[in-house]
Amino acid sequence: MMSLGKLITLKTNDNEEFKLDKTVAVKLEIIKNIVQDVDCTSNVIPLPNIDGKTMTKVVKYWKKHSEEGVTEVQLKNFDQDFLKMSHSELHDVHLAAKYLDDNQLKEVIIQEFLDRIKGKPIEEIREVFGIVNDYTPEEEEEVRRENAWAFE
Amino acid sequence: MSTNNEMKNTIPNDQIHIPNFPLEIIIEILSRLPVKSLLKFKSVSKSWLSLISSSHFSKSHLNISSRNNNLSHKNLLLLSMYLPHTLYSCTLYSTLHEKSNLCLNKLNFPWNPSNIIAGVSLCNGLFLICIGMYNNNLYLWNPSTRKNKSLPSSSCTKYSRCDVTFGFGYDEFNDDYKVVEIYGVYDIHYVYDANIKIYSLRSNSWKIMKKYSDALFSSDSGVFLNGCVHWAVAHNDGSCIYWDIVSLNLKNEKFGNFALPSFDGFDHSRSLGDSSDFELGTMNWSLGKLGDFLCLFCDYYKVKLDVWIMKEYNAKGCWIKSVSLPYVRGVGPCISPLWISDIGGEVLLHDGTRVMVYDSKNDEYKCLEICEMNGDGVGAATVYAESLVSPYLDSIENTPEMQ
Repeated sequence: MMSLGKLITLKTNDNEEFKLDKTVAVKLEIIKNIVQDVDCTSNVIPLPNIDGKTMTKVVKYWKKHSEEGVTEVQLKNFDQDFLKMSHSELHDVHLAAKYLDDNQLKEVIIQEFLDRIKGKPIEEIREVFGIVNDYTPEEEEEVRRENAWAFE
Repeated sequence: MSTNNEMKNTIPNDQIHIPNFPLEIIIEILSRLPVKSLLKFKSVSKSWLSLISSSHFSKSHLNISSRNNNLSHKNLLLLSMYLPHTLYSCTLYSTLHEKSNLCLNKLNFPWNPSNIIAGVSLCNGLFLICIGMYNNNLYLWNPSTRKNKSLPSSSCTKYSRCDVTFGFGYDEFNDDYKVVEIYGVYDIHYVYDANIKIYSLRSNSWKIMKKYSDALFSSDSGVFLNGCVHWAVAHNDGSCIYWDIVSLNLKNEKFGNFALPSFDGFDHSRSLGDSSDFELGTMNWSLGKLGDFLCLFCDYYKVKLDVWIMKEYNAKGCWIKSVSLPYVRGVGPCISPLWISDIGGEVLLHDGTRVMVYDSKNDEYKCLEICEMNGDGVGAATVYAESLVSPYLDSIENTPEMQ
């Protein structure tokens, strides 16, 4: 079992350490499981799939969302600011949230992606997901024609 | 095929590095989009075309669409009352939130709009439509993708539509859609036999099943739920007639029975077509589905309609009376509930000519204003979840590999 200290240290794959209040950390299923299952006397939990830059963002999100007395409006404003990141950073945070089994954060990121692609032309969709158009102009025209009514 | 499914991780010239998005995230994001956007996004790349066309993706999308509280992926389908019919759809979200000035989409009929629609069944966003009274014109139609398919004839030509009952549903085990056609035959002793044929979309053919004896299937189309189609059925055991619910499991094609709850004013042994049918308060019931639950709509003629919900799906019948809709002045002649909110406070319904929302907290009806239908009246309405399910099952083997 974990020793009784109030802090838990999460260590990313680039050796950055994040000290977290245990009550915040164990809200996450995966950390709770590690805390319960592993004889982790050093209080350090390795996160082999997450880098320091991404974890900084995740921890910032957790801390704000577990703040005492924080209002809905404050959280909304915080989320709005928090999500101001590049597509690729957003993607990294999503992967981290997925690894950490944080459904709330995952859902927030997916919603942000949806907002970013809503009503956008095809070219911008490709940009968001880093997709190269591999259609020839004729092929693309044909696919568009087949679903012409959806472009109305 | 596999190269099509790889998400490309290179981007032109000087833009920042964009990671290789795992297919899983792409699926999670795209699954939340309406069908119309997805059809547009087929032109993003070949990999997206094959992803969006795959049955794997269409299932993932359907899972999200069919959640009861997902209003933006559910549509209300409206059919005008008189011939030739017109057909409109509208999202359930705007139906419930913008009760006036609804934004309707006019849908084109895949069949002749001057024909009578004799029966409609719905499963996974795919409609089975029976057209005409005496011919065997069956269509599978997905209004979200506008794809439709005319089904081969079941060769049941001897009987008029009035004697035929349909059922339609999905057999998950065989990944197949099936149509059940039941036509009753009775002899001089009024003993009914139900002749049954099943059509499989995968084999695109009909087969004859064993007769179901001593039973009269109600003419309402069957209700699909939990892999089974359900009908209200009257049985004749020689001395009296009693009612229950008969289910047909589409996987093993076996029949089962469900008991009815004991509701007020119901005489299980009342003879068919009794003359008291149209007396005030006389109860007639029908089967339905709200959310993921099998329902009974008990209509006490011009008095009220009680909604019973089968909370736990089992043969013992764990029925709970959910909400009671009163027939007040201006509502009627015939209420059919279309959708119910999770906590049961709001019920969307068709009252015979209009679509309304009943607010049970304030015991109030609000009528939807539908300008486009020009006072023609709404002849029928239904709520369906948007889906990419194809009436051709063409993309069935096209399952992308998860990375």
